[in-house]
Amino acid sequence: MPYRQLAQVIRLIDIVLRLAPVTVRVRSPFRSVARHIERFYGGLPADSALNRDDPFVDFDIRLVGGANWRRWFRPQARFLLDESDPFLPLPASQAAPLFEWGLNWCFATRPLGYLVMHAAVVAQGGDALILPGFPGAGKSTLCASLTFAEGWRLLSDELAILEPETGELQPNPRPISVKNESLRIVSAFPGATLGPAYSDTRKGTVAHVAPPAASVDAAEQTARCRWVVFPRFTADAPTTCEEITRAEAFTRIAEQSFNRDRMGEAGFHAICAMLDGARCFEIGYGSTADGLGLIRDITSERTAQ
Amino acid sequence: MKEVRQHEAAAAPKRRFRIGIFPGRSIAFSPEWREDGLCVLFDRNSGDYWVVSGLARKIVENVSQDQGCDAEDLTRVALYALPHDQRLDAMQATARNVLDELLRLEILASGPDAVSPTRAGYPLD
Repeated sequence: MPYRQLAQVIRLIDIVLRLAPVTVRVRSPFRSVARHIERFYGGLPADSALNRDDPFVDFDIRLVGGANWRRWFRPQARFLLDESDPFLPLPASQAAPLFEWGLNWCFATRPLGYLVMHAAVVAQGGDALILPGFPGAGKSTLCASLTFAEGWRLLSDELAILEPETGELQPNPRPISVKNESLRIVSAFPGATLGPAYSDTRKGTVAHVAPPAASVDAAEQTARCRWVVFPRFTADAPTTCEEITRAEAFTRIAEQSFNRDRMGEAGFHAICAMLDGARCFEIGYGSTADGLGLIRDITSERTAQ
Repeated sequence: MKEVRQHEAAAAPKRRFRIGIFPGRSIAFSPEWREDGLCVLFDRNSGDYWVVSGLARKIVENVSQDQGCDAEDLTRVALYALPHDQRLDAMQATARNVLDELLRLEILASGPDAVSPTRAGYPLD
């Protein structure tokens, strides 16, 4: 049986995706992964093997079932990058979120020449707002709110990808991962399309929100950092906003950088250059509306110019 | 005897300390960020970094350029290289640093743990 027919029969997905700034090949027998890609990455071509002949891919990813008897008994999903197996397997029901988590890991660990930081990034025109944050600080919810309620362009909800030579931030508009209580908030935003909720993951209940089409269309348009805001969400807490020095912002961003150590002096100068044209703030807020209000205050000065 | 020693001390040449970059380090500098008053130093070899004052940056910069300087000259040059308004801040910062160091070494204390001189058995007067 020809390969393409065989692939259709067993629902094997084999596709090359351009996820700026990288090209990714994804192969998997999991229907949940095929549906996830169809929902969030513009739909599968009629023949999913159509793009297999692309000359170069940055990440060659396979999501496969568990080994031996774990294919059938309490089935598992494994994430393979270039045939290496960096993670422990997860339940097969979490194959789609495993794809997203694994892809983030690829960006963080593969030497692409970019400085990669753990932060959400949105932009207005070419002016970018970076929201670095420890897990639970509220950056993904704030990022989704800015994107869907305030019309900011999504660059990424998870990764700030900085080109050291130009100081430009590279967009990577992929599904926004929202968790637990944030699901209710984000699902209420107009234009927010949520995928299925995955419960009992290591992060609790997780669902993905499709990035706005305008952000995907502008995926090759870089932006320059103008504001760095460290959010801190505590339910019902009073709002606080403090401008911090760029040196302090440096130390916090350095902690949130996946590969600053490996980038050495280039990484140091890249962060410094990024901060050189930015203002940095720390905000505390007790509701999404308060957080959005603070961001509006911080960014209104520049956008009014 | 005490008086004689004082004379000897006055007559002795002042000890000069040479200062250089710590062996094995190669320092890179962030922009000065003068309005912030703080900047970052980075060791190319170890990847260590430090947040320092403008005065400290100036001192390290001078040392890097001169490959070793006299401590007193270095302080004076660095201080006068700063803008006038920051010079006073730098002097105050020096005093603050000393105080911070005494607190860090637990020679002094601050806040509720602090013991007043009277309570400690050393009346003020």
